[in-house]
Amino acid sequence: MPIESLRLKKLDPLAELSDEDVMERCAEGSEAGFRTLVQRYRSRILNLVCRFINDRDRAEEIAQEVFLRVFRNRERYRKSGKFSTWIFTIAVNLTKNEIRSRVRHRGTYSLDAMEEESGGQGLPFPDWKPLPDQDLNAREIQQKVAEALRKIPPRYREAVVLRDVEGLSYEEVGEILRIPGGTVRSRINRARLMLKERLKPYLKLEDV
Amino acid sequence: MNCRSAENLLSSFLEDELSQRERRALESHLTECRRCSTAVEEMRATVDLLSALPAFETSPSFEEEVMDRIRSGEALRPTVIEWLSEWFSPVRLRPVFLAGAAGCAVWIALIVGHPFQAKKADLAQHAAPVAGSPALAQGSAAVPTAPGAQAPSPAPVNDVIASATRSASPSVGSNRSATLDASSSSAGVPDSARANPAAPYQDEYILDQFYLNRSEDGVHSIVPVTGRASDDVYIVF
Repeated sequence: MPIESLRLKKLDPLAELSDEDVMERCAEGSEAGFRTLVQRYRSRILNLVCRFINDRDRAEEIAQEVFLRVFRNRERYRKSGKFSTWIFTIAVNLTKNEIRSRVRHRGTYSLDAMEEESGGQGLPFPDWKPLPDQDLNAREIQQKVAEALRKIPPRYREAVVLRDVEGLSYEEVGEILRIPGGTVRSRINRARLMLKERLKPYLKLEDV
Repeated sequence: MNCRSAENLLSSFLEDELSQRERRALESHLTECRRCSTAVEEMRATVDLLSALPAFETSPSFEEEVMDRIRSGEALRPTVIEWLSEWFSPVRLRPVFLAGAAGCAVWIALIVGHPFQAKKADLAQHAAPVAGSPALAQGSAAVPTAPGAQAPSPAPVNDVIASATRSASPSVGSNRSATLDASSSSAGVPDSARANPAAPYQDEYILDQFYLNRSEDGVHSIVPVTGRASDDVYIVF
C-alpha cells in the first residue's frame, strides 16, 4: 500500500466508513463524524437547494440549517435507511418551506420573480475561474440548462434534479418526495421532455 | 403504438426499465417514426447535459459556520415546528390515544349497561311488595318450585310458574322449546309479567299445552299434556 494512502488512513479513520456508519458515530457524540458528513454532503445539498430556489445566498443558509437539523435529530436517525435519502429529505422539506414562505410573502409563486431576485442573470455560475475559448461555449450551454431547469414547474424540477443532477435512484426520489414509483417515473419523463424542448438548439445529437 | 404512447416510455426506454413487450413495441415504432427516434436521442443528450452541470461549492467558511452554530447551542434549540411535531409525534401520542380509547370503552360500557342496571333496580323495587302480598304468598306456597329453577327466596308466583314452564317445555315441542330457550338464555331480559306486576297474568304467554284436571272434590288443576309426574306443574283454581 502506498505511503500516502497509509498516511491518509491514519489521519482520517472515518474516511473509509459508509455514511451510515459515520452517522452512527455522530449519534454517539463524535464531532469528527459530523464534520465528515458536512464535508461529504455540503456541496450536494447546496446544489440541490440552489437548483430549487435559484438564490445562492439563501441556499447556503438553508444548507447550513440542513446540517443543524441533522445534528439536532442525530439520535432519531435509523441506520436501516440510507443517510443520503434522509438528509435529502430534510433539504427538500426545508426548501419547500422556503418556497411556501416566499409564496406567502409575494402572494404568488413566480419563477420569473425569483429570477429577478438574482439580478435577472440566473444563478452566478459555480466556476469563476477563467476558461479557455473552447470552454466558453460549454459554459454558455450549462447556463442555458440551468435556466431551462428553473423554468419548468417545481414538481417536475425537483424530481429531475434529484434523479439526473444528484444521481439518486427512482426509489430514493420517491421516498424523498413521498410519491409512488409510477408518479416519479412520470414526472421525470415529463420534466425531460420539457427540458428537451427548451434545450433543442444546444443538443448535440449522435447519428439518428 | 402511436407517438403519444411512445413519448410516455422514452425515459424508461433510456434507462432500460421497460418490459420486453413494451420494448419490442417501442423499438418497432421507432424504426418507423423518425420524429420519435429523434426524440429518444434528444432526451439522451438532455440527460447528459443535466448530469454534467457543474456543482456549486460552499463558501470556505461554511463548515466552520456550521460547527460554530452547533457549539453555540443553536443546533440544540428546536424550532417551533420541530417542537410541535415532537410533542404531537405518533410515538408520544400513542399512550394518549390508548388512554382515550380505554376511556371511551368504559364510557360506552357504562352507557350500554346503565338501562339494564336501572331496570334491575326497578324490578327489585317492584318485586319486594309483590312477594310480600298475602294473596301471592298463598299462591307461592301452592305452586311447587320446579327442579333446577333458580328462584330467589322471596320470588313472586309468576316467576315460579314461568320457570316451571321453561323446565317443562323441552319435552313438548321444538317450536316452543326454541321460544322458551331463547327467553331463558337472555338472563338479563325480564319477563313481561315481571315488568308489570299490577297485571301479573295478562302479559304472560304460556305456550305449553295443558289440560284441565277436574277432581271430584271440586279442586281443578291444569296439568301439562306431557303428563309426566316429574313436571310437577299445576295451576290451582
